[in-house]
Amino acid sequence: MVPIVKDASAPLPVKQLPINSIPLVKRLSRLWRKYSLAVVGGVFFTIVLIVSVFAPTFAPYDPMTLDLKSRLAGPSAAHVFGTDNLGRDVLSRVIYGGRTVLSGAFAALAMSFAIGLSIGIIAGYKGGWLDNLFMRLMDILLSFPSVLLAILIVTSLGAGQTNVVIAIGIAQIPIFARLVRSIVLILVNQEYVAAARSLGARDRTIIFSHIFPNMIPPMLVQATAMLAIGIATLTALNFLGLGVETGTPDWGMMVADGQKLLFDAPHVAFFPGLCLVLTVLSVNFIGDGLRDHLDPRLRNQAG
Amino acid sequence: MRSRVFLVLAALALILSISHVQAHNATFQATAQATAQATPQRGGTLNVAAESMSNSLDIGFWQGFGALHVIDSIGEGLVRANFETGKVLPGLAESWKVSSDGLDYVFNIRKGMVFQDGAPITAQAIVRSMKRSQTPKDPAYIDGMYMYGNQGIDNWQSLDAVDDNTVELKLKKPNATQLLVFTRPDGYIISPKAMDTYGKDVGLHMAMAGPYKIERFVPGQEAVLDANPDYWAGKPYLDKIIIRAYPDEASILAALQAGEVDLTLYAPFDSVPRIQKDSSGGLRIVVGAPLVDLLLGINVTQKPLDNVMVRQAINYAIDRDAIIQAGLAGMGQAPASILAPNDLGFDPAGKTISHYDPTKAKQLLTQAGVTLPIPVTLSFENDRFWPVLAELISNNLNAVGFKVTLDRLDQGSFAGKESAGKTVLALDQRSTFLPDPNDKVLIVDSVLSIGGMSHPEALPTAKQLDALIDSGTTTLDPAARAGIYKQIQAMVLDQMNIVYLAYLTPPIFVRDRVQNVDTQGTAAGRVDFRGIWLKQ
Repeated sequence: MVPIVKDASAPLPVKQLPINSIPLVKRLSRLWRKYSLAVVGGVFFTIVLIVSVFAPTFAPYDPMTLDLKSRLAGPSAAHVFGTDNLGRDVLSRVIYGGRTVLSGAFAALAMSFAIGLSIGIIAGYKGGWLDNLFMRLMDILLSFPSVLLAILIVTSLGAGQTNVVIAIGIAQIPIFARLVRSIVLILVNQEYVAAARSLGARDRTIIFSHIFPNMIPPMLVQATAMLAIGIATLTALNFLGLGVETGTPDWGMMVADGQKLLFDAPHVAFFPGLCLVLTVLSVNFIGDGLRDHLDPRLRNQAG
Repeated sequence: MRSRVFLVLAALALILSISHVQAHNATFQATAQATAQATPQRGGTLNVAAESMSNSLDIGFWQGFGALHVIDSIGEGLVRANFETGKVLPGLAESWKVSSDGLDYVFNIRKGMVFQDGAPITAQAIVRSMKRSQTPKDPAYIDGMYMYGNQGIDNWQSLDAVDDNTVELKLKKPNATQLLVFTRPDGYIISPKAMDTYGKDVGLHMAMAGPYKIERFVPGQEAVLDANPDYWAGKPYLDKIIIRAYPDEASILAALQAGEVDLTLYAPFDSVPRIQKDSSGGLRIVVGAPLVDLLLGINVTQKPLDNVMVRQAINYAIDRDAIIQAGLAGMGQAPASILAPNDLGFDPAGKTISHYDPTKAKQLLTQAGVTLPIPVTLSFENDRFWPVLAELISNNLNAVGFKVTLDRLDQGSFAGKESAGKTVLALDQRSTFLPDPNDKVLIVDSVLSIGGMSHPEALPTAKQLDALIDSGTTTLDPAARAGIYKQIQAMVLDQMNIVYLAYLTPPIFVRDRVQNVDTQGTAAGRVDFRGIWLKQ
C-alpha cells in the first residue's frame, strides 16, 4: 500500500482549522465583527449595573440633599450633570435612579418569568382543559396594550413602586407563558421524551431533565426583550406619577419634573432621558446578540 | 426739443410730488402711530391658555379656571367689582339703593339692553335667572347645582320684579357682602330664551349679558368668544378671544414660546427669571397682586395633630423663604395669616408668627411630649408648583421630627379626598374670589367647611369663630368689620389648623402686543378681558 503523504507545507482550509489554533487577535476580531453591538451593549449595561449597585460609592452627592442656592445650575466641574430645581445633583440622582429602575425591572421580570414559566409548562405538558383555561386567561391579558394594562392594575392596587412592579410583572406573564407552552408542545413530542416516559421517568424528571434545559436559550433571549420593555414601562409609569414617591431618584420622574424646564434648564430632563434610552438600547443589543448566537440557523448564516 | 424739456420737467415734478406725499404720509403715519400707541386699538384675536376647560359653562357647576375665564367674559350680574379698591360698580343695574338697616335692596335696571341671543333684559328675566335654583319647575333647573356658592340665597326673604326695570331684594338679616357676591359667576344672569330652549343643557349654550359671547364651545377643550356689539358699556376692543385648555404646564410653555398663546397664568414659574431677563422672545411678565393664599391644612382630628403645640411646631418648621424663592421663583410674599395685604382688616402682626424657626419647632414637640418621629401624610395636587412645595415642606418637617409620606394626587382625586376630610396634611390655595375678606375666612367656618382639610368643627374655638364670621357678614360698618376680621386672623394663628405658606403674586405671562392687562382680578383667576387691547 502506498502511503499518502500530505504536503506539510500546504495550509489547511480555514474552515478546517481547530479553533485554538487561530490567533487570539483574529478570533476576537471575528467575534467583534459578528457581535459588536452586543458587546457594546453588554459593556454599557454592565457599567450601569455596577454603578447602580454601588451607587453610594459612585454618586458624588446625596441625591436627596437640597441646595437651594445652586438651583438649576448647568453642567460644571462641581456638578457634572448640573442641578435640578431644588439644587440636587443630577448625576447623583441619575445614578440612584438607575438603582430604582433596574431593581424594579428585574423584580418584574423575575415575577413574570417564574409565573409564566409555570403556567406555560403546565399548559403545554398537561394540555386539555387546563391548557384551554390558562391560554384563554393569557389571551385576555394580551388583548390590552401592556402599558395600558399596567396602568389599569396600578390604578386598582394604588400608586407605589411595589404595585407598579406587580403591574408590569402581570402584564408580562402571558408573553412568557405562551412562549414556554409552544416550546413544551414541541419538546414533549420528541423521541427522547417518549423514551424517558417509556422507561418510567416521572413527569417532574422529564420536565426538569429533558424539557427545561432546552427552553433556556429562547427564554434568555425573550428575557432580555422583556427586561428592556420592563425598564421602559416602569419609567413611563413613574413619569405619570403612579410609582415612586415624589422626590425619589428615578429616571421617569426626573424626566417628568424636567419637562417644564426644557427651555430653562434642559439638562434636568436630558441626562436621565439619555441614560434611559442608552440602557434600553444596550439591553436590546444584548438580546440581539444572544439570539444570533443561540439560534443555530442564524449562527450558521453568520459563520 | 421743447416737448422733451417739458416731459423731463413733468417727470421731475411728478417724482418730487410723490416724494413729498410719501414724506407727508410717513410723518402722518408716525404721528398716527405715536397717537395710536397711547390709545386702545380695536381688533385682533387674543389666544389664552388655561389649565383646564370644564364640560359645561353653567354658572351652577362649572369647574376650573378655564371655564371661569369664559364665564367672566360672557357673563354680567347686577353689579361689577373693582378688585383694586373693592368698590362696587354698576353692571346690569345702573344704580341701586340699600336701606340703612341693610335689609332692602332696590336695583334700577338699564333700559334697552338685550342678552346675547337677542332676548330683552328685564327685571323679570333677572329674577327668573337668580331664582333658578329655587324653582324646580323651571326647565333649566338642575338638582344640586351651585356648588361654589349661590348668591347668598339662603339669606333672602324675597326677590321680586317690581316692574320691568326694577328688582327688589329683601334679606332676612344684613349681609355686608351681598352686593359683591353678585359679581361672582353664580350672580350672572342667563337669558330666559336660552333657559327655555335648552333647559338643563343651557350650560352648553350659554347666552348671558357680558362683553363677549360664545361663538363656539367645545366641552373640555376650548371656547371661542366674539365681541358682543350689544354690550351695554360698548363693544370691547378685541374681536375674538380663544380660551383653550392645555394638558400641563410644559405644553403651555411650549405654546407660549411658539407664539400660539398671548396670555396665560399657567406657565411654569421657573420660566419667569428667563423671560424677565430676556425680552427678545416677545414675552413679558406682569406680576399680579397678592390675592392668593397658599396654605397647609392640618386635620385636627388626627392624633397627635389634635395637639395645638404640634400644629404650632409645623408652622415654625416651614421655611417660607425657600418656598417663595425655590418653589415660586420669587413670585410670592411672606404671609401673615388668613387675610392678604389687600383684604379689609388685614393684620400684619401675623408675620411674627408665620416664620421659620426650626429650633422652636423642636422645643414645641418636646413640650408636647409626643413620640418621634411623627408619621404624617402630605397630600397635594400633581400640578404646577405643588410637588416642589411638598418636597420642601417634607424636608423641613422631617428635619424637626416628623416622618412625611408624600401623597401625590391628580386634581380630581385630591379635591375628593380633601372635601371628604380624609387628608392629614394638605396643600391648597384660596384666592380672593371677590374683594371681601368673608370669602377667605369661610375655610375656618365650622358649618360651611365642616370636614374639609382641617375639620374646623373639631376645634375648641369653633363656635366662637363661627360667631365672629357671622358678625363679620352682618356688620355693615367697614371699620367695625375690620376689627372683627383682625380677631379672626388672631384666632386662626392661635389654633393653627391652617398654616399660611405665602401670598402668591402670580406671574401673568403676556405677549408684547397685549396691552392693559388687569393685575388685580387676574391674579385671583378673575381675568377681565374687557379692557385688554392688542397693539396692531
